[in-house]
Amino acid sequence: MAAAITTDGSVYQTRGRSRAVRKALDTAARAFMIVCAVLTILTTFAIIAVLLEETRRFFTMPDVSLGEFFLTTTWQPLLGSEKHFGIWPLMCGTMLVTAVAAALSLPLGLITAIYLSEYSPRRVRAVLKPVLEVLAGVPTVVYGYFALTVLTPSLQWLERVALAPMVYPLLGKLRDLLGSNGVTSWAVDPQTVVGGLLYGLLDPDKRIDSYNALSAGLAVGIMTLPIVCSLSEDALQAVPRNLREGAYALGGTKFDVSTRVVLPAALSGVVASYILAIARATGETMIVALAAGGLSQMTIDPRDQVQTMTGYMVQIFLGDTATGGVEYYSSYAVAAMLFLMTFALTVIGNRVLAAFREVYH
Amino acid sequence: MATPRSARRRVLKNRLFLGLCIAAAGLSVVILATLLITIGLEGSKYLSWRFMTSFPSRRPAEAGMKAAFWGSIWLCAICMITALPIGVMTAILLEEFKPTRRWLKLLHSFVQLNIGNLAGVPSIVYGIIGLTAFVNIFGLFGSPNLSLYDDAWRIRTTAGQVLQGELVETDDAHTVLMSPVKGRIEVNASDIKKSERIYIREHRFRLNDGRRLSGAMREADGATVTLTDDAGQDVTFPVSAIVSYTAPTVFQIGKEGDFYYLRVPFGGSVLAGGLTLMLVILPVIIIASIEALRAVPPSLRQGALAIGATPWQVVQKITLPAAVPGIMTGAILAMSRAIGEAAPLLVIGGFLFIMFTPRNLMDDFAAMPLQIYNWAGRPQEEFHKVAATGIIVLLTVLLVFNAAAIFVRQKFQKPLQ
Repeated sequence: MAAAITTDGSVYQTRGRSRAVRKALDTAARAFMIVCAVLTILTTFAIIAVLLEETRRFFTMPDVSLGEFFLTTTWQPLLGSEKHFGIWPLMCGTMLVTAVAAALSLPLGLITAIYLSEYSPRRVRAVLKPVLEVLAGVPTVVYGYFALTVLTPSLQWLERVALAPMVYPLLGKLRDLLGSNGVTSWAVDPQTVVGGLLYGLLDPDKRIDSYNALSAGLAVGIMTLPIVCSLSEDALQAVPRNLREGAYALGGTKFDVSTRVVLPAALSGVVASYILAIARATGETMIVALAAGGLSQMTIDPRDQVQTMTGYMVQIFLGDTATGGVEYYSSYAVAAMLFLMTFALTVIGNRVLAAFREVYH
Repeated sequence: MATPRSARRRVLKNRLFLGLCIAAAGLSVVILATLLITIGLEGSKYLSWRFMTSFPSRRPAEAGMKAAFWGSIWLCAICMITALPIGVMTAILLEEFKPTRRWLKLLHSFVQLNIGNLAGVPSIVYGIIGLTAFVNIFGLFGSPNLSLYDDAWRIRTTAGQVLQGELVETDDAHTVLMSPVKGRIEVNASDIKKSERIYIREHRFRLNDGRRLSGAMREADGATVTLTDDAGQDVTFPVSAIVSYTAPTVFQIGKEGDFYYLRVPFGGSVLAGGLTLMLVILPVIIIASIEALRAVPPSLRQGALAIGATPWQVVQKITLPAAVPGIMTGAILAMSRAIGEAAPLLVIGGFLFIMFTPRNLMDDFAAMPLQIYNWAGRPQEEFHKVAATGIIVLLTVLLVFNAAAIFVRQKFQKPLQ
């Protein structure tokens, strides 16, 4: 036992531990910490091992081949007597939803970030920052509900009053124009895969489906908006003050300074935010499961129903698919593809971000 | 290189851009307002205390989310109890015990990078890992999802016989079991000494041609048996070819209904769900904890080390207490991520129509986001309104969590010099 005198003069007893006990405690704590850290490493390896093993099992099954998986464009695992496993329709669906999301969140997020970092008065900031934080915290299933019950009907209304009478006929004209000469007709040839995509996109008679890639993509865009915005803002704020002040001294307006000095200096940080947001959009599940539909098809038309890779996985795990069947294992192969795509994007995004931080911190 | 541009035009451009900025920023406010207002309007119809105290129902007016609410609370508690120590300990190791040896340094930076990348893995992929690691425990203990023997019972008769098979029907007079070998077995109620539900992990057969087969039961009618072996192939053979048959049960402690009931593998239980959510939020907690530890000034550590504290004592007495508010804030925010997460749970258990709240770790579960997904996905308009009511409850819970996080931050975060 040891005694200690506190600042107010009173004496209290402390439990003195022998050196040996302290050392033992230290070692035990360290061992526990190492176990915990190893667990997080194991998680990564478990993800890779499980996906590899089950994907390998999928490809050894009788109806499946690697060539079909990567080179054909029909994904039809459940319906019909003949099963087809060509990943491209699912990839196409994922990319379409991601593209719509990116078209909304990348420009909007960057502009909002520039506003927050360079322009906004403190009072506006005090409102806008919490709004973005709330948007970031809303569960994705809520966005799915929003896409299904608010965005889709609104878009259909917009289509009825404006798009269908005014814009869609132009699409048809453009298609006829492209198809009428020998130079560009291949681009809208419905018989080929590539031509079919554009042919469908320019179809003037198609209408927005009650499940569609557009509203799902917009909702995913809203979800990724705060990611783009906060990461880009961090990047813009990291640009040293003296660069800005130099530009202002030369007589630049705020617009000149933001777009010609600050943005180029923060570019890699902004790019990183874009990559990470796209990775998030690619892996998004609940929104597409609710609003994008369940029909896997090759299309680049956002009016269409699409099935994404995540949407397919939901369909398999939620449905009555027998465990152990070929459809069941196909979801692992899809998951492996999804993991590869998002992991690569995240690794690249984090690398770019780290390189950016190196420069300014 | 630049052509001179008139000042007026540049100022005009600046004005226009400011307008664009305000429009963009305003759009996010408008989106949030629209979202909240629609949910408020749609969800108010069924919002009442009854909604919190009743179970799901086919009729929208009677549907409630008691099961989902308590399921989410269980999931969240399990997730937090496991993720917090593991996450904080990992963060302490990474931040406070930085290695000095070369290869350990490499490992250290690899782990640190890896955690950032793990945070970017889609949550549905974590669901798949949870399915393999927790629901099935890598198949080490057999499969818990037996297609035919989902409802297997073992009955001991007064005559000393032990019968086991799938429960076909039971009433006051008699009980009917279906056995893969013996076919239909009928037992009089008066002959039953004891009956218990069992979880068969594997069906093992030895056949008269020397083959040994094991796997999950696909079909059995008393004449032929169809088995799905581990490679996913169906094997059919006649009952007459069977030399011996055993069905080892899963490891379990207690019985269903006991509060301490535990079985391995976990199956689609609330424990498996909570542990899967733990995987999802672990990187978030580690990153938040590292940030909190980094914010503690190094002079405090150096002071403690200088008066002879061991590194662990420094952590225990100095660094950790100083970092607790930051860690707690991060943990609460991670928890709000966990409670809104639906995709991994969908993979683990799917949506179940559950009319009870979990009693122990092995019970099936419902969760708020899953319930909302189910309601929103139904074709009837009325259920969309119920979904909106569910969203109001979910957002309220999230609001409480976030308020708690802010409170913790304000109350306990003392400025450190």
